Amino acid sequence: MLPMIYSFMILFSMKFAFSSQESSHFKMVAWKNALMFYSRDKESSIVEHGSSFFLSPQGHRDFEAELTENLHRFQNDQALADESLFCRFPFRKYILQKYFGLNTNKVNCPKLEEWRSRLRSEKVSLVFPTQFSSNPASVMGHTFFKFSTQSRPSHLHQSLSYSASVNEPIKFFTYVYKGLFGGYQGHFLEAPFYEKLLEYDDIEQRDIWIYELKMKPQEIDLLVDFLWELKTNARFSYFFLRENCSFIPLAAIETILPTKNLTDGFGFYLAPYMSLKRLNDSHLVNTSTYRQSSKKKYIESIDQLTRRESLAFYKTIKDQKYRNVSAAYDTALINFIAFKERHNPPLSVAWNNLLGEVLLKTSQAPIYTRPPRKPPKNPVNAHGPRHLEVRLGNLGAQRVYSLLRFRPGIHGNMDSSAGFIPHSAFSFLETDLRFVGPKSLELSRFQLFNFRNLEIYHLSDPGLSWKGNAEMRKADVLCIDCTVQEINFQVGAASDLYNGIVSQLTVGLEQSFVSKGIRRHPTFGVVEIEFMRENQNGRTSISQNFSHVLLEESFMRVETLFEMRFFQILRRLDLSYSLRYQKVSYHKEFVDQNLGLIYDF
Amino acid sequence: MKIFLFALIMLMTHHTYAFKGSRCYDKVIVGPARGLYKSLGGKDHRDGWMIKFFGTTFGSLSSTTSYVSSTGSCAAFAQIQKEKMVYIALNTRKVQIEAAYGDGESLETLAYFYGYQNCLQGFRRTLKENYQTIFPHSQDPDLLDQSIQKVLDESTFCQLPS
Repeated sequence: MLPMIYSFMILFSMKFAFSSQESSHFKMVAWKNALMFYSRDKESSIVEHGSSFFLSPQGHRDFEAELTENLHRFQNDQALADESLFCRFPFRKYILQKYFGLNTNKVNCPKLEEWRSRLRSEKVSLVFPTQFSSNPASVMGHTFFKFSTQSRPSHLHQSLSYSASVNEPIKFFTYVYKGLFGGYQGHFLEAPFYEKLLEYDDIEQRDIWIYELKMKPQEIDLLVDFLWELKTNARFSYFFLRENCSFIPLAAIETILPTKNLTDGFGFYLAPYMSLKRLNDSHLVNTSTYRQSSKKKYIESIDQLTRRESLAFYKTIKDQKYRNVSAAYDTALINFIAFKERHNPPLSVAWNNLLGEVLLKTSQAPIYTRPPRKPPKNPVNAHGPRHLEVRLGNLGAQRVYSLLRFRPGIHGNMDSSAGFIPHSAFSFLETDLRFVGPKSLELSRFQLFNFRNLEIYHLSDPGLSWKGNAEMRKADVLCIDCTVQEINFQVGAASDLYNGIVSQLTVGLEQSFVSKGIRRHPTFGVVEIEFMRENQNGRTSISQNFSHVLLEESFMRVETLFEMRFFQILRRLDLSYSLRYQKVSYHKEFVDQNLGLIYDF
Repeated sequence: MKIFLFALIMLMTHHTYAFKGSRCYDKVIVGPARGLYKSLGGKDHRDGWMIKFFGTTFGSLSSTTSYVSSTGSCAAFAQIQKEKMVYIALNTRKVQIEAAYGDGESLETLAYFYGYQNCLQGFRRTLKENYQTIFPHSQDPDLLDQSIQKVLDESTFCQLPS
């Protein structure tokens, strides 16, 4: 009996010791989070050293010293009103009180109260304006907070975003350098939601997704307090790759919900859509809402016109004379003129009069309801940014090979477009290792970058598509064993042909170097036509490329590339098939086909 | 007792005025439309795109606009009035289009500003039915505000809370 009692006592004391250790660890995690210890090793704060956010001179790296200093300073704080530590650090006060036994004083904080009243809300959402290819900083999108309350309409909800403060004329290389290495200061910007809509929807014409977060009212209050501390005391360096507009909100949410691990495991970059996926995977997304951009709205309203309406529409665009056709025609016209005004204001008198006429007609008609539309794929279902692929293929008739491909980011030509601009691509450092036979391993391809922006061409809004890449590859029609280094850039137009089939015709320049011997072949004109289609199950693409090659003599190179991708044939695995056929004008041929399994993570 | 009664009447009168806003209109300050956003507390760092948007969208209109001082007893009303004028100035075209349709988020926001959020359907219908009166030709935010207020004052679709 006695041994049993002893063992029970030992077990009980161990459990107590463990839970006490656990609770002490949890306290420290909460404290470190409050100090924004979110560097990759979690050993230092991402708030700049010397910022008024720290009370101890070593606070940036030494959270224990900061804790001691905070307890001492809070307990002896004599400052009044807004200058008081209780007003400057309301969230820190909460943590010190809850976990470290701080006795608090009641202090009147007018500025803090004003902030709270502005951001007071029942719900908080993270808003995602989608990718914007015209601005390098927004090429992957943006995220910001939206604080919602039922007592005010959605347009007047308050938003808070974190972004880089660029107060100088933008020079490309300085911009990239400072963006990558923290040359810009990060700052918080508060604005009513309608201002954000003006910026992202009306001016930049980006779709917007709103993700309402599963947070309790008390947690939202704490988030508001914590953001106040960051906004008023912390100084950040803005890094486009990691500590960016998505990382800081994610870190702030993790600080309030320390049991959720939101910031770990992103590697050296964090694209905004990845933060949404992380929130969704952590079961923190309550609902998601899609807002179509004004550009898509007007393009959709034109696409829905019948042939007769469409003819009338284009005639009206030409002569600016109103025609009494149908409600759908009126809607397309209103959307078009409104878009034109946002894009290139102000409207001429003729356009202004036409808009006045069609609006008057609309006001006298019964309410016209737009046909329901299907939202695009939700960005939380986007593929993982890292790409791993195993392929088995053959070069020509005899050489069988296996291939391992890795790409650290972000979105390739054949990836599912969920969460991205359809048929776009932005990827870098794609590397192929090829095994030909049991002992031969070679770096068969290295792609420095690849980008593509496809914009469907509309008569009413002619936009250009463009693409480019820089890569080194082995095995080409020019020589099986040489290395070809190639850089190309193409511009063209794309069209939505039929039932989701998109075609693209591009022309451009290409420069290649063949590094066996001292050959070099500048390839001047490149013409490429491509057809692609994507649905829920997969993606197919076929492209035909004609280039004029100058080697010892001038000749034509023709390349056909056929690719298929089947999404998620086995849980998160995709299946791919690729066939590349190259031919030069003196009848030399080259065929490379392979079958692969893909895992994006 | 007389003093108390006088104070009570004054207080009630003040509240009624503050709600309807007619008394607070006395404190109108006039300024150019282009500087409206900034003068109403717009942030400097937004000027780049905001002035571009503002300047280009409304720049051709050399009209004046107004806002209400946020000092004194009308502060709460003035705050909403100020917010409303910025909103109208930045969303004039959107409001015009949605008024023609009789539907949209901008109308919901206007209904809030004019105190009709509980009669949203009626508010939307009234703006649609009176489209021609509200939007003659000009895009002036001031005129738009006054026209909407006039139409609402003359309509009976919603009983204002007393």
